[in-house]
Order: sequence, then C-alpha cells, then structure tokens
Amino acid sequence: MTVRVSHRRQRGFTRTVIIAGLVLLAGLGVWLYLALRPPSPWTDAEKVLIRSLWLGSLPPAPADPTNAVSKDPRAAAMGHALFFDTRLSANNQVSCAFCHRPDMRFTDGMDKARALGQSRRNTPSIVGLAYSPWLYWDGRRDSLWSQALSPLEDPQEQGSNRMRIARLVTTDAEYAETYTSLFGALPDFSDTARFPTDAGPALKPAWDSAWQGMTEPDRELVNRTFANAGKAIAAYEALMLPGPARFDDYAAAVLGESVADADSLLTNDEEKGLRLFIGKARCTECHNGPQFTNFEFHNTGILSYPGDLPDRGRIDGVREVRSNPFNCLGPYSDAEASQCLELTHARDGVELIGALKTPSLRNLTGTAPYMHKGQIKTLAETIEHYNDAPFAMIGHNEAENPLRLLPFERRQLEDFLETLAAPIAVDERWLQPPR
Amino acid sequence: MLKKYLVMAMVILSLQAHGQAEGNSYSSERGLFRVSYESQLQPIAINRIHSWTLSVTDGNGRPVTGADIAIKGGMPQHNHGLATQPTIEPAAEGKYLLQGLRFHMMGYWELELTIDDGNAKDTVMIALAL
Repeated sequence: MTVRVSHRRQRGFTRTVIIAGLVLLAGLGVWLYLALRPPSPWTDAEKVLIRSLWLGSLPPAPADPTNAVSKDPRAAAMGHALFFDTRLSANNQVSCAFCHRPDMRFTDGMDKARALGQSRRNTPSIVGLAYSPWLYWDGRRDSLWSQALSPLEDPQEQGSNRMRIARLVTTDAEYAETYTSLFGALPDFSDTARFPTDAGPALKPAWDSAWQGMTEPDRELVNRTFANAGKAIAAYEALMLPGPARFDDYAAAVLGESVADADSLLTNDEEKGLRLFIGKARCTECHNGPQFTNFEFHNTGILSYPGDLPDRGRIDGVREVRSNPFNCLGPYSDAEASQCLELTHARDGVELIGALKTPSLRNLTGTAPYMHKGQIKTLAETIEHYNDAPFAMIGHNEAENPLRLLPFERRQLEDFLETLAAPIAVDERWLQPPR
Repeated sequence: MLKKYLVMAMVILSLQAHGQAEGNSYSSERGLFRVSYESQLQPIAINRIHSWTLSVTDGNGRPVTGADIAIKGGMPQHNHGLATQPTIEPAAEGKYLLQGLRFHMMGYWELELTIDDGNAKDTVMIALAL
C-alpha cells in the first residue's frame, strides 16, 4: 500500500521545519552571543575582589612564633639538606622530597601518597603554607615544623623514629655544626644504655618499649632535638612562595598598578572565567585572598575514595592538634601562649564533620589528581562537581546549591584557573638537592 | 553591584530588627545595654585572626563591669558559623577583650553577643559587611 501525502499536509510539514530551523538558528545566535561577546568592563566591586586575589596583596611571609629559627638562613640551609636526606627513613630511600617533589610543585601526581606504604590522603603542595594556621587536610598540626615531624615516624611514609633522627642530626658533622649554631649545645646521645638505637612512642612495639624505658628528661631531650630538626625543615619549606602568574599581571593592569594593556594579558574566555570565579561560580567564598584559599575547613560533598569510609576530616583533626605535644602551646614551641590564638580559639561543632582544608588554586598545572584522596582527576571534573555537588556522605555539604554554570562557562572557568600557573618564587637551587 | 546593594540593605534591615546602631555602637534588643567595639585589625580583613575591645554601657551610659558575655556568629546566608571560637574576658572598667575572631569569607556576617550583668540578660547583634 502506498501512503499519499496531501499537498496541504506537505506544506504544513515544510512550515514546521522552517520554523524549527529559525528557532534553532535564533538559539544558536543567542548561545554564540553569550559565549563570544566581549567581556564588559569591571565594576568597582569586582575590582575590589580582583585586588583581594592579586599576588601584590599578599603581605610578606610572617615569622612563625613557635619556631625561633623560621627566618634563619642557616636553618633553611640545614632544612634543605634534611628535606632531601633519605637517611630520614627506615629503608634509607625515602626523603621528604620523595612525595613532595619539587619538580611537581611539591606534590607527587598520585591519588594517595605512596612511600613505604600508602598514606591516608593526597600529598598536598607546601608552596605558600608559611601563611597557613593549619597543616594537613584535616589541620591536625598547627605549624610547618610539627607537621614535618609526622611523616618521619609514620610507618606508611618514612617509618623512622625520633631517636634515630635526633642521633643523625647530632652526629652527622654538617648537621651537628649548624645545629650548634642554631640551637646551642649539642646533645650527647652516645650512651646507648640511655639512648637506644631506635625509640619512639606508639610506633613499633620494640621502639615503643625502648621509649618507655627511657627517663623523662632523656625523652624530653630527644623530643627537643627531634623538634629542632623539624624547625630547620620548616625554615626551608617557608621559602616556597607562589610566584606571579599571568592573572597577577592582568590584575595589576586592571587595577592601574602597571602600565601593561590588560586586554593583551588574558583572552576573552579567561577574563570571563575570572568574572565567573568572583561571581556566579562563588569560588571566592572559600578560595579567597591572594593564595586563593582561606585555609579553613569545609565539607563540599566530595565522595569517598573507593573502598574507604567517608573521611571525618577536621572533626578528628582538631582533637589531634590539641593533644599533639609539638603544638603551639606545647613545651617545644617557642611561642608565648598568647601567640597561640588559632589553637586556643579552634572551634568544634558538627560543621567540621567531613570538612577538609581549602587548597590554594595557584598553579594547579601538573598537580592533579585533586581533593584529599585524589578522587577527582581533572579540573573539568572538579568544576562539574561544584556545579552540582551531591549530598555529603557524612556531615553537611556547604556547596550543595547548584551553580547552574553552562558548558561554555565551565570551560571559561577552567581557562581562568590555568592563568594561575606560575613557577615557585624561589631560586632554582632550592628545588634541587643541595650541593 | 546588585549584590553589594543587597548586602547593604540586609545590614540596614538587620540593624533595625536588632536595635539601633550609631557608628559602631549598638543597642541591645531590649535596650538594656549599648556595645561598641574597636578592632585591633583595621580595616577588618578576611583570614586574619585578631581581637576586639568591647565597651559595654547600661541604659544610662554607665560602664557595665563584670558581665558575662557569650558570643555566637556566622553568615546567615551561607548557613554556617564562625571559623573560630572567640572568647570574651573582662578588661578595664566596662571594657572586654574579645579574642580569636577570624572571618574566612567576604560578605555579610552577624555576631550575637549575649550580655548577662547578673541582673538582666540582653542580646546585641553586630552586623558586618566584609
């Protein structure tokens, strides 16, 4: 049987096709206009936000009141050597730089760090952390030096113990010389009856019982020497500051701080990405200030690492930092109690469940994967996450309101993030092993 | 721009709702106390822990000494509290030291001070647009 289409019906069909085509064309026109129109000039309010992100607004790195040698170049030089020293590990193969790779902006490209074993979380960069009141994703340490001590004894990381580290920095001729100049008289750990080869609390049973068998003053002496090694490492780490990125040149031009032509420094898409960053995408709620982070803890509904329970985050971190003997208020800190405002005013509460520290967005290039366990592999996926973040597995997702960014806006945001790439603002020699 | 006006409008509205403000002097809800503050950090910037000195007077303008002052605060639009747990201790006559404030986002913040002088309790709302 053949179907005969009447002329009238055929005309109706043609008309529908033409109208649909016109609607599509108009839609395409609107889309093209939205995506390709030149950016509008910045308002005064937007300029305030741009200035707040500009690297020129970053004050000089503060001295750490808990670390009397935090700005001492001799300490930085000793810390430089310690940072690359594989003798700080149980198998003599793992230095700090093993995971914090200077050629990868002090990250390692893995989801969770792998050294002697696998760590709990992703290796964070150390760049710009001299400004951070809290260290680690959950803020379980409150200074660079107290942080530096943990991996040395972590069985999954460097797996050594404080007795061994204290002996190394007081017997190696170069360390011993700098140690004396920085911290005074060199402790004598040569009596192995008093100071066993391996000792440290809550590590291997044998090391723990050796530690428990030592006298309290001897343990304190070892702790102090161990802490001093951390303080030297911290002085080195504090040198790692973010360098000016293309965004900063652009910001300087927009703000009248340079004579460069702003339009030649960012593409239209990058500029629109910046507008989204400080506006519709609401990134600056957490990624604010010149380091693009508030160093604060937020639950943003990041899903668990496959096979892991949801990460409790800051709720555990705040308890741990309060009880850590190497904290700001502890006997090995050089600060007055009145200088420990962050620690004494650290908050509790349900908002901290599943909350993790906002990372800096400066120079994300080459630092994937992202998030506390490397759950998200690319910047595009990260933006997708925040565009419509799921409910938190535990606690409350602060970023639960969908951003409703269109596909081209998400791409512009990503383009903008890439304008934050910049080398670390430090002489290249500090990024290589010493000598 | 619109957002800026909205924030300003919210600040003004909330001030009307929670008592009268003159400069940075704030009257409590029932008018029992008046509080003014001086920030050690000027202008107040985000992400920096700092202290304030509070001056508290009663309805007759006399300094209130020895009161208990509790603090709560946060960003109502974001449904979250303060990044820190500030403390308030008595200092000189009618003066109190508010320590450990750190604002971790730009935008509209509220601080709620509950003052108890032993006889009466009243609440002062301080609104800030950062």
